[in-house]
Amino acid sequence: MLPPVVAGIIVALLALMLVQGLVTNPRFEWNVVWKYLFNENVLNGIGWTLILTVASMIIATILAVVLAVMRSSTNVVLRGVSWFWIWFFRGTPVYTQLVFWGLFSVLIPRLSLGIPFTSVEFWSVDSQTVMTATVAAILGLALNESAYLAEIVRAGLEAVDPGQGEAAQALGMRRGLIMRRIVLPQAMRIIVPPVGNETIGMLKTTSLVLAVPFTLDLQFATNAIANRIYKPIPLLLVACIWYLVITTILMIVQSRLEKYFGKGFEQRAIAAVEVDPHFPGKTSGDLKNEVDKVNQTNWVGLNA
Amino acid sequence: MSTQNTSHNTVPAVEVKDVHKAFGALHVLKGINLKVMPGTVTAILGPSGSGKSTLLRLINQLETLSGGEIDVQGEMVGYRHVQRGGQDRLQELTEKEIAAQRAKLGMVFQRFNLFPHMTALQNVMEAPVHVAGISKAEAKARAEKELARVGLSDRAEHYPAELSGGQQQRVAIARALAMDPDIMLFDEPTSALDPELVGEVLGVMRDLAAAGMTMIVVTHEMGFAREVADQVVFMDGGVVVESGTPEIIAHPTEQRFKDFLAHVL
Repeated sequence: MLPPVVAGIIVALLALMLVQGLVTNPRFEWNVVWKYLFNENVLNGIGWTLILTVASMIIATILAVVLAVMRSSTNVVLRGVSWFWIWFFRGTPVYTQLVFWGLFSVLIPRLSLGIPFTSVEFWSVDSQTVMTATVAAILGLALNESAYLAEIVRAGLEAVDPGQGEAAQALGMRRGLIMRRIVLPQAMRIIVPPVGNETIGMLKTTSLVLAVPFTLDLQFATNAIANRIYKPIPLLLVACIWYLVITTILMIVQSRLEKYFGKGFEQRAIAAVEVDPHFPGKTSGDLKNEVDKVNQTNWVGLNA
Repeated sequence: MSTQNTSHNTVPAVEVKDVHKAFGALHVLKGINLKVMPGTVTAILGPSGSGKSTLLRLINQLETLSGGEIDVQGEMVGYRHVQRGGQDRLQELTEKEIAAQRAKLGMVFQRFNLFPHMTALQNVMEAPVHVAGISKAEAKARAEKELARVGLSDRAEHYPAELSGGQQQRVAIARALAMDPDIMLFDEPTSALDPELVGEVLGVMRDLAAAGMTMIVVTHEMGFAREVADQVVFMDGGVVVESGTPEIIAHPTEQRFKDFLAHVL
């Protein structure tokens, strides 16, 4: 084995060589990068990319909580619909989904609310007025994302020790209160890291909205300039720099959140696995395999 | 108040009448009868799987009955009688009514079940503030009093992960007491503790018994049962095999109880 100091020096040298190569390579045209870094269209693109990311993540999170609760419902219809939703939106490419959302008003010219298979109609509207490119892009991204988030939320809720709910019940707390005060805050600790992952993933997935087509996001804006001035590489660098800046900010937010929801838990313990002897014949309190669940959550996040 | 007192003296704190419980095909309780008078301590003994914990959980409605009836302070738990079509039927209570019934009972679990994201003080304050609707200042004063009672005033700002098992269980007792229950249920409160930590928890329970709290304790601590209990119940295979004063530990009559005592003593 190399001593760490030697290994460190070697890695540092390699990194320096890489940086030198990037900075001095004339084909990267850093002067062009600098010229367009704060271009008005680029800055607008950043704004739109952020809007798409935030809006779709908020909608997806709300849907995901609903789907996760439906998934653990005793009602077969609710469970089935939730399962189908997750199966469908995880099982088809997001690019294809976005194409369909873009074609929505062509495929379904009128939206109406009524009783299926009858002529009873309470309300209807022209699809084109509702389904603008922005709405199509946000919905397309959100619905796809909700399927992934639903699994993360479900695994997070299930990882909370059932003894917690029982202790809360024994204190006279009711279901809604238990969910809000006891279960969700503990589930958040497990949910936040993969959701942070998903948000960073979403930031870059927004570049697929050209499938709708939605043409104002960062990737499209830089690409448009590149096509105009025949310099694709520097404009790709511009996009990369901004994606990295935003990712850095998101990572800081994520670590703050993790710290906040990690209160009272030891840093190293991913799940609350305590040293506790197994008592057979118990109807409650048996330790579920929490580590597995946590891992599962993280896998779901990484597979996105 | 005086009428309440007289009724308390005649009405059992908890009465269990021919209670059955089955989990699927597994028949855990097979007709349990038990009467616990106010201000007394009942120790429930028995081997693992004898249904002791299930009985405790039924009293607190963490499980639903398969048959029989449980009354707490003379009021049937979980159901009410209604007349429908001239017939007497049982109607399930609402979640709100069940929560109100549970408020009379405090419960302490084998694995403490403290809320890990809250400090000891916040654990004890949680239910008084969010269930009883007491002001935060008042709840804090009450919580500090209860923590002092279990000897943990200096640990109020610690999270459960920073406390020993014995300390966690004492916080759990304080948390239950903060709701001012009439009856305390203990489900093997010392079974998950290291031997050297058992004493401090039993000490708190002794003080509580001496203060006149009605207690039902599922335990393997024979010494505690012998010294503190007014009534000892031995369960095995889902039935009460033998019950009586703590004397029965020294002089068991049933063979199964003798065998059990030979194992644990």
